[in-house]
Amino acid sequence: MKRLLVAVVLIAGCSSGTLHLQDPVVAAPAGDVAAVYLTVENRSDQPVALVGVRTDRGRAEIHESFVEDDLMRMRRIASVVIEAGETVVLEPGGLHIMLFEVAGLVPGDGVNLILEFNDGSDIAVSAPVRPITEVIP
Amino acid sequence: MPQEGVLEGVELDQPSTKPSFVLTDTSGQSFDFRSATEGRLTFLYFGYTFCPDICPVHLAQLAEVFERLPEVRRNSTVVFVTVDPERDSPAVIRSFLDAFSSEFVGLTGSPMELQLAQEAAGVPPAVKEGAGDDYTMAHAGQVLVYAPDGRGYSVYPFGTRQSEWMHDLPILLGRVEQ
Repeated sequence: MKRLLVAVVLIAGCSSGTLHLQDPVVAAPAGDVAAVYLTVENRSDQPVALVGVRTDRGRAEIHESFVEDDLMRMRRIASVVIEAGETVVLEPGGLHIMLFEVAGLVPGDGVNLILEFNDGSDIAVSAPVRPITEVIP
Repeated sequence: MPQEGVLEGVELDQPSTKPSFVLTDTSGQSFDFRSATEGRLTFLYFGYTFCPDICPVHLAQLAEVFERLPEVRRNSTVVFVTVDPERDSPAVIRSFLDAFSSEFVGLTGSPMELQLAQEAAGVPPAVKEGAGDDYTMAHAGQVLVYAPDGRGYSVYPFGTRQSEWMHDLPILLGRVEQ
């Protein structure tokens, strides 16, 4: 049943034809937490915001790494706005989806995510786990 | 081994001196940073394991560069100092580092000892942010590197690529006490 729901959501997400997710990847964790990176393209003429993430492994939040006063910092953020016609890249050292309680994920595994947007669309994506040094050479 | 050459890391205006501090390693033994790393190419990084986006990157890159530069690996010591002793028990640190290399040294200490170690190394001490189980640590993001002569010539911020490490490490390894 769960699989069926994901499939339906996936079709719904794609059928909107305006939001495109590309290159999802999970950097293999060394501890209990991991980061997911991907690209979100908004081909519509309206801004849209990523407002939540569901995952089949652990739990997920939207986070941002940034530098302030010479220190690397990380904070949870409520949403990521993708302006009309724009592309937002979640990448190392910036925006990312943080996964908690994912110790034991190794390259070759995959994480199924559902990204929730404020226009009501839910888009399912499967992110392969890859070594960190492949994500950031 | 080349001794000269323009480094790709962020070169310091004046070379720094390897700091002196004593902390506790993951087997519970006392670790005197300066004497334990004397004559070695030494990497010092202050981070924490509950950090998915920044901390593992440096360590993963160094581990991979060492695979390709065995002479550098043989003569190097990588020291990871936690800035989050509350979460990072010696066992947690060991498990985290073993994902990269069982040779990497992990250190912890009391909050005051850790703060003094960061000050000795010339980085702004880490600050706890947020509350509850998901608090984070604001911390220095750069790797400090000391040549075998005990001096630091350059630092390596987040975003450093393996190609830059590959370029600089043989040069730094050649900087030995004259």
